[in-house]
Amino acid sequence: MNPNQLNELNRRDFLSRTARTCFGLTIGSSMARLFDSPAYAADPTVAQAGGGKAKHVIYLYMSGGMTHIDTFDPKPQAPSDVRGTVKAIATKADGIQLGHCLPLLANSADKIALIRSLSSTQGAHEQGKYLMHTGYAPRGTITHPSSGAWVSKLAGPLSKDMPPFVLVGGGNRHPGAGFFEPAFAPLPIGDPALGLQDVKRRAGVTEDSFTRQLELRRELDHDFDRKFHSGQKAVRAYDEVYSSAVSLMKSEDLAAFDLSKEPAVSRAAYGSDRFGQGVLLARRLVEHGVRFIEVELGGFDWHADNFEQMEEKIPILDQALSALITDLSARGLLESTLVVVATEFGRSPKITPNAGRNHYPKAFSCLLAGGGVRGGQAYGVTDETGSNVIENKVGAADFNATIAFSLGLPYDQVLLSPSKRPFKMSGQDGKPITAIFG
Amino acid sequence: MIKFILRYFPLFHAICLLANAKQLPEQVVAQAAARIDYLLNEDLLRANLKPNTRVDDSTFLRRAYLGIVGRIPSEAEVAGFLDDTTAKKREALIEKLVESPGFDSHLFNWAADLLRVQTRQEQFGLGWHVWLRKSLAEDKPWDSLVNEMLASTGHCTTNPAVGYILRDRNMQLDNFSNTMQVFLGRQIGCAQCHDHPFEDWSQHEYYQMAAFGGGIEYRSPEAKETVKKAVTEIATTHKEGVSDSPPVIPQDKKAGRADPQVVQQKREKEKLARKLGNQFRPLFKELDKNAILDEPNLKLRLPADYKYKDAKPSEVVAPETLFGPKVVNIAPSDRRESFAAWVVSRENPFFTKTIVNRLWLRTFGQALLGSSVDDLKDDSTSFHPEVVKFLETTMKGANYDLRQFLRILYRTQLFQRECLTEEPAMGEPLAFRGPLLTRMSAEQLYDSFLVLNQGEIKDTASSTLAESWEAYGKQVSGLLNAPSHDLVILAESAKQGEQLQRDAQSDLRAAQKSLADATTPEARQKAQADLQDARTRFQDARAQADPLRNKQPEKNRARDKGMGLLRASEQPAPFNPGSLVREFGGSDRQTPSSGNTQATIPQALALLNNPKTDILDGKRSHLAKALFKLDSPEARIDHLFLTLFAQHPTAQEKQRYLSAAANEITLRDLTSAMLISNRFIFIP
Repeated sequence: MNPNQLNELNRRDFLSRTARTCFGLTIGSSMARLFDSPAYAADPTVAQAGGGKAKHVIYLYMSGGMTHIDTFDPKPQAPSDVRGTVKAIATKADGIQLGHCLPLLANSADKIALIRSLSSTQGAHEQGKYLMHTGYAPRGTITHPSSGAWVSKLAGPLSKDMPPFVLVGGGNRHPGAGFFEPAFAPLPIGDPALGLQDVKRRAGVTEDSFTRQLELRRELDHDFDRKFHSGQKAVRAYDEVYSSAVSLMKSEDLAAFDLSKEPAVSRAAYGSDRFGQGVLLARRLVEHGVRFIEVELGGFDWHADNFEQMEEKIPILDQALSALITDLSARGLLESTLVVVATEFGRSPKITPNAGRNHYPKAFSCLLAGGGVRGGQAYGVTDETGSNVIENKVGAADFNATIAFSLGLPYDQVLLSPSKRPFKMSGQDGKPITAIFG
Repeated sequence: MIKFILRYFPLFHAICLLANAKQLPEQVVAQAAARIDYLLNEDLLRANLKPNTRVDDSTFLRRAYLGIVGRIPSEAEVAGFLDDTTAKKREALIEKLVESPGFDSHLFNWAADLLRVQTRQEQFGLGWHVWLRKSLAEDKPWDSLVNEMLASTGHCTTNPAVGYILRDRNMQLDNFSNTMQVFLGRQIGCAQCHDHPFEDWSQHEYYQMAAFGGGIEYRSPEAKETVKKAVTEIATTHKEGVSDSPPVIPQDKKAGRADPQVVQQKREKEKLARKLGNQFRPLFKELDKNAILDEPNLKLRLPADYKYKDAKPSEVVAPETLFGPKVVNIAPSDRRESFAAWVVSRENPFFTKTIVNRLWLRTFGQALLGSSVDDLKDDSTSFHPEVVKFLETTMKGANYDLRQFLRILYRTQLFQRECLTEEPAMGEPLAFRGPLLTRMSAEQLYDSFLVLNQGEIKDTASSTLAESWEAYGKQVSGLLNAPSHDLVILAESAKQGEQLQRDAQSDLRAAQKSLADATTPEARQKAQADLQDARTRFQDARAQADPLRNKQPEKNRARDKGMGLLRASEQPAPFNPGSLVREFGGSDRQTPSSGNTQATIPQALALLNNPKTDILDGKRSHLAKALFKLDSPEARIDHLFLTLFAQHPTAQEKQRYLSAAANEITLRDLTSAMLISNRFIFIP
């Protein structure tokens, strides 16, 4: 790892912040990006261990706590009050089984690594989501940056105009940029089919008028900004988003957000639902230089009717995920794109009287594919009922460190919050799972 | 003398009790506000800090309208206020706004976000929405309101407050964790699965507290009663062989295999009752989704994997409170009432603190006590501990009337001070020299656009949702009071409806498939016709299967007609992802208070390019009509500045923008620029 390069990044960050403060002006993000050089270089030892191959991350988040025992970690030998109606099916990877609602993924199992030994102590949704996204437990004193913001910050941008971090269908409480500057906040897309809306000037608004509006905005805000710009991140954030919005409007990459440019066949392949289309959008964004795309699929909180809900929901994930892996692979992008499936916790193995499963942070599963991760493997083991991790326990911080490792980023590099507290992408003491690479 | 009053403020509580009126006397309000300022200033003085200076009329006016009624003032309202030369005009404005219906609308947005009200959740969501809106408008005291939500039972049409428990149907523990957070500011969710790592909460203690809700079942007692009544009636009639008895038995497949032996009459009657009961099930299933009942025999058990030594896995836990007044040894039938009474008790050390802290945050932008209103601890600190104490007394004295309490906060000098220019450090007790700078909430922005589109807006509540709710109530009461004979027919019809629904569904899928496979125009046409037919049949069948299915209120009905007519609080919530309200951080109603005001690129794009925010386009909006009616550029500039910034332009600004106002295109550019400015979207 080359620590100097990070210091360089910090210096630049400091400079641009201070410059704004001193002169009361905003360096447009596109301008700021001109200063950016690749912020990291693969350390030889990281490369030897198989890390540093990924340039992009597609992070699929199953919100609500996805049942591990019915999907990535089936237990065909478990008693029926644990197993329920789930059958384990064979996959393309020797000795690895999946729940029967994932037949398409089973067919691509030679390209995935299941992580079956996640474990956390956060059993409530909000806290669990926060931990998975940031590697830290929530605190009243700080908002930690999410993994997407860390990656954007540590890796730097790949494109002049495109935002480094896009969030498709995310919830309101996403930690986003955390304490980082607003430039690292995700660009949210509500409905992938609509893409990025309002990217064209209004009918009848000429280029001249448009430019005049932006100039007038500055002028009108002169006194306001003089008073608040330096002290208020929220105010700086608005100056930032206007300049980013304008660069985006002019960008040739804008078409990346437009799914209508995609042939009908590939739109159908990912599934016509919002999630499937979001995952397809993620692939397009990867092709246009976006670092980190998170797509959320909600509604996994099955305290009742677990098995009926599973039959409805899991096929949506199955279709989109397998289509993505196949598609990236066919386009030669799988090696440079890390695909992640994450969730806040698993579900209690013992089925409740409502045929449901409750929250279960003690043991759950996630998935990694591409980005240098060896396919066809399952890492970590739970006991015969999926209740306890008995081998290779992985925490949220380790999981995030693994994402950093795949990108060759200094996961243990300390960055200071504005209140001068030290934080790392790997949380307090996360270590990457290096064994799954190469 | 004044100083004496402020230092030894007469017992507020006593005054309020004496006054015994809904609305506090103006003098009491003014004195309480002065007391708050006095205490704040004492703290600042001790720390060698000075309170910020008083804001000008324009800043005050905008802050008052957005803060109290949730929208910008109209041009007429601005001009009227700025021209007013009376001495107490600020106080008079606060008094007027607090009493206006706009206050109710704005407060509802806050409460519904806190409580996660989803209008379209089953049927109870609508009922809960309407009930909450009405309760706040009628000044139902906060303790009564919370008490009703925590203790209510039955179907939502009888008791709409059950919406609070139903919000987390089958997730009673999550609901309980949220209750502790929302009403008491306590984070104990961690202990749901294990002993709390940082605080003194054990998992067992968590279950003891949660056990007060251990009897909750998600069923309708009303439906149960009606079915029971009907079954008894029919069984009796049937036995007596009345000829016009409904054709119940022949429809049952098993009825064909009648037992040749004469069995005990009692057993047969029971069997018949069960069969009849089952027949009614499709009819009442919707009722069960919208009701709760308390089952005294049902008790909360520890989880099966409970790992601590103080109890055994799956053991029944007896309800017991763990802080504040001790509540223990409660009869199963009294569990919910006891818990609700404990939560809202004046002796509960966190209930009053929490609502006071939340309203302070809402008014001034940051919690007064602790680092977060959602995470109070026994040792949470404040820069202004005496103010916390005084506000608790005030809240109790005002009998938890939120309007009166907020009125006092608005009447403080603090509400009229310049806001802080620096954002405060997280987690450190804040010295309140002034309020915080905030961005308009999504709802404030939405409602402000209504002002631009319509000019004067009345702020009065709409009755659309209430009417829809009333219609549902009538349907339910019709069903619950239907004669047994009608019930049987309805039940049979519902059952058939379910079958028709399944048939239509499979036809729908088949038609979709043949449409996808169609190669010729004829085949496509036929598939399309089939699809349409199946869709219609499906809808009819659904209505038949579920006679209680209410037509859900249309999603964001005003969306397609510009910014629409109704205020955000009058619309079903949450708004759809991708809608303007959601783009600007409007609550998704998933977690308590999830609305946010963070800047995003789509917001910038929406204000720059979205046709709905193009306020002068087509000259249809109130603002456009007013502007183009004015001939002189000076008057236009003045009108624009008054409307968007609540102030007259400075001489310099007037000079600078005069030429822009003369021309239609440049006037539009100037207006757009004002709408995208920080000056517009922030509330200093």
